[in-house]
Amino acid sequence: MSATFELTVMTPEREFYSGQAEALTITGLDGSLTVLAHHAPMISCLEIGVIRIKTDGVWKEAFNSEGFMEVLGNTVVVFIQSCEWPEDIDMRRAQEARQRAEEKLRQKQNIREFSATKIALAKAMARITLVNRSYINLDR
Amino acid sequence: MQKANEIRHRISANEEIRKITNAMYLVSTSRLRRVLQHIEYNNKAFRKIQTSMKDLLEHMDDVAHPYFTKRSGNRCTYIVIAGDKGLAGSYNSDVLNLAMSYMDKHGKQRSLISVGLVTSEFFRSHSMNPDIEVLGTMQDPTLSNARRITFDILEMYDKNLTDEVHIIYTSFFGETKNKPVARRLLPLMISDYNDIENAPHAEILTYEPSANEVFSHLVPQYLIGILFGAIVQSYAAEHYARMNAMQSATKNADEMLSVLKMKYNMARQTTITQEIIELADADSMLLNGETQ
Repeated sequence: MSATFELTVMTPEREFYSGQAEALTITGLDGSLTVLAHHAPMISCLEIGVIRIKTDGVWKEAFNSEGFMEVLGNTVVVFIQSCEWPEDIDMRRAQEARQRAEEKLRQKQNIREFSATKIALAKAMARITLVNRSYINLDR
Repeated sequence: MQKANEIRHRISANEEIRKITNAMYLVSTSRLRRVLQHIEYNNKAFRKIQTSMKDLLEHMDDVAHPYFTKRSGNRCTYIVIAGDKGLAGSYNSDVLNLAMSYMDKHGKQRSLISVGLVTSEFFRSHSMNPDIEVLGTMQDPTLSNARRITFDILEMYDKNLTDEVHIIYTSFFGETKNKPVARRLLPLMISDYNDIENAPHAEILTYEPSANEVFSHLVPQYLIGILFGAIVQSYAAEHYARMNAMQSATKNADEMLSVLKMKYNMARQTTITQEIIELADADSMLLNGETQ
């Protein structure tokens, strides 16, 4: 077993994950980024996408919305607005959200609506792709 | 007979009301219990963001960020959080009175975001129409509602429609008491972070992609954190107040019922005695008639 670090994933509503991890991959603002044990201290922003956590040699994936990550000593704290395992994702809701967002994008919008819709679309797409390709921690 | 009937009517009315107050008491108790764990966790998460923010501020070369710049104008936006319903003791009036005096003190050109039905009605009755009304949030304090409000105020701030944003809500201090509080949300000031403990490390962190960008990313999350915390705390405070109010209402109803039941028994006793006397009278009159 390789070296591990202490990982906590928090959302404002609940503690999503807490425990030892071997590796953590996040989607940063300029691409994905993997943290291993004893990483240099850093703070990074998270884009809407997928975080991957490796424990006991197995990768687990989860959807994440915007947030940030703090690496300090041998502990990593990820703070995200919302986070879901693939089995908890409501596929129908995600698809409806995607349709809604795509429909809205076709109409004229102001800048703020446009960016809000883009975010909604990104979230829906991230959820859908995660569920579609995820076979690792899905026991269905 | 009339009187006993009247009392019986009052007893049944009282019993109905007692059922309602008792049910409201139970509902508030269970909701409060559910939201309490939430608050504890929320505080922890929020402290985490604050520590990171402070850390970041100390390592940034200059904080010439729009959210840190004090604007010269005097337009103020107030977010006032109270309940959607009454019957919660002094909860609503406490926070709304504080809002009134706070707004008077700041006495500026103001716009209003009211959260909760009672809030909207209160300000309307004081001839101040809320600019944005948020309804339903106080019955279901979700993160997405907090997020929506945050994006609204950030948009107002970004478009230069307001110079300061304040929030007035009820904070929930453990289980001891409710306390209405008012605080400034925007612009942020370094002095806001004075009483926050430093992150327990001396290393210099690298920021990915850059400190300024991380900071811009963090501010909305920080604000969402404050707003969500305020909403959840107000929710807990409302139910705490309602729980107490309904508990004493139920107790009062019980006392009233016991008094009424005693009165009813007495009235019934009196009518029975009366009837017996009347019967005895009639009987003796009949007997008298027969003997004559």
